[in-house]
Amino acid sequence: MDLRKPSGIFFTLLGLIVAATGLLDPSARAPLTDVNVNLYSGMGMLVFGGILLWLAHRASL
Amino acid sequence: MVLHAVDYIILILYFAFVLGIGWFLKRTVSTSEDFLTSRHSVPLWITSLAFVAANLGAQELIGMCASGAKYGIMTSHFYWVGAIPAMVFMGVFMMPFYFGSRARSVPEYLKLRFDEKTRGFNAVAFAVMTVFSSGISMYALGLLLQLVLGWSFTASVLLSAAIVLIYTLLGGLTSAIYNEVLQFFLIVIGFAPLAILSAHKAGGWEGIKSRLPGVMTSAWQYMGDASQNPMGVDVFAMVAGLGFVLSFGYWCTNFLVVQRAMAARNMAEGRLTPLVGAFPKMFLPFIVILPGIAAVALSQMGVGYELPRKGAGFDYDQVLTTLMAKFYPSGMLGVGLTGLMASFMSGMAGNVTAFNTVWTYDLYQSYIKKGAPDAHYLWVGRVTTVVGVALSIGCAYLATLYNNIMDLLQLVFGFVNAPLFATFLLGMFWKRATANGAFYGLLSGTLAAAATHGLTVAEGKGGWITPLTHYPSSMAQNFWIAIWAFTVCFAVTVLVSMVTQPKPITELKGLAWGVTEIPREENVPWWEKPALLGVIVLVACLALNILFW
Repeated sequence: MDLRKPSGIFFTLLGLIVAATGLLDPSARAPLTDVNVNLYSGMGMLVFGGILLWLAHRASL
Repeated sequence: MVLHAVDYIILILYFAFVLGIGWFLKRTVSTSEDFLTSRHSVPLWITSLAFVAANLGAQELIGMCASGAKYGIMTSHFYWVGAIPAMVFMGVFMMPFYFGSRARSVPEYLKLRFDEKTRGFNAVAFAVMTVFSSGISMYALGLLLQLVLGWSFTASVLLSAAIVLIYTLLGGLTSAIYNEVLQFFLIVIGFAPLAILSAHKAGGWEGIKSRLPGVMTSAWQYMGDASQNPMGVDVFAMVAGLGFVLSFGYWCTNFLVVQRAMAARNMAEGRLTPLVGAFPKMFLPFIVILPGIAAVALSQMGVGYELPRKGAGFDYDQVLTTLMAKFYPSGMLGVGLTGLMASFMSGMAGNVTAFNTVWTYDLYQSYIKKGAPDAHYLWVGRVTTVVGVALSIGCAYLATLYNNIMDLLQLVFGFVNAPLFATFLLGMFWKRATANGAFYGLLSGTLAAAATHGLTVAEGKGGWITPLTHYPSSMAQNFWIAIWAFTVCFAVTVLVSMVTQPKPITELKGLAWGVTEIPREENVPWWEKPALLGVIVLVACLALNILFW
């Protein structure tokens, strides 16, 4: 098993969920934050998941 | 802290993936070695991340953040003086013997290099230690979840233990290692935003520096004298006690981490495992320690963050979770909490898989039933997984009943581990070291550790023989216990070896310096040369020390 594949899928899904939470409720803030933490972190996770999937795909060619 | 549906969805998604990985790896297990040692099948990038992750349990995560708030950037010495040099030494100098010996565990190396009684001593001590440490960390997590989320102690302990049990039972060590990598990623992704947000809110590193006393933000300037810093240690105790004895002892001889490097595909990758792992390890302080320091600065800014209190003092163990509550909205909060659960699981799976191998090969196969067919040992390995998890749960409950006993046990483990590095150093680099030398060295080193504790007092602990010296902190006391244990073990091993018969050189092949074949490196690219990579790691680590001088 190429671990990059399941981890890539995991972080892509996680990124989708967290970014979607940020999009659906853009005004959600924790007491000490002034930015949309969910949106930015979720996008970061999507990028990370995407990189893992791309690496796995490249290795399988 | 209140969780919403999305947070629970994230937690469940993670559990599903962890179990799924175990399920997919089920078919790779057909012999006891597949289950217990992964039979040299794991790629380098996975072994090196697992090497770092197995040590990154929930207790470390919570504890490092707590120490950051209590002691400041000096906490990074656990990484930049402690772990990194030890990991380099392990990769460059020690892995050739672990691999060359073909040992399946650290105690088994001791058996091959020395004799049965040295192995037995180490195997029993290690097995007891792993069970208790996974129990204690389970207790810590259960307590925290109860406190922060109001979850039932029993439910959270049993649920997390059950998940670790299932995926370890399915895919054995390979499954534990693969999951450790996923856990490592999740810990970084779950806590890096917290470090960024909290440090930013506190005005960045410059802002933090301007709000805190200098001792909190400089790693070395206040180390000249033990009375100048809150840790109560001076340069010698730090470098010799933590940097040399404790860290080298932990990273080079603790089977929990060594097992990850032993799972590598060949000697070259085994040597590279701790070296590659050192790169992410070196930057972990920015994720695990920085939020703790930022928390202290924030508490002085009047922005609505107070350090958690317990009685008259502070409850530093809650710094991490209180920060999460202040900086993470629902969604990211779920990711952070899942990261915390993941760190707990990686620590526990590390303990359970190491316990399994040592019990099955070093105790069961050596003392209880020799020469059975392999299928029998595979079965024993599986049963041991269940027993190991059950014993850990038992220890977690024991800890709820007798909190002080756990303090004592953790201390006793310190006694067991501290002298071991001297035994390995002499065993690997001095062909004349004998079996009796090693055994009596270990024994007297352990006794020396106990005696040091009995003769010194720190924070009201120790001094049960007669209090001769006082140390300003338990940390200083621990460092000095380690220094004495190492010195006595080293001296006794040398003395006894001089008067006893060594093993013939032919029997030391693959076990000691000078009679072990080390693969040639002429045709490999520079990034695969352990010595060169080790130098790069050390230079980078030195740069970090200077940067935060």
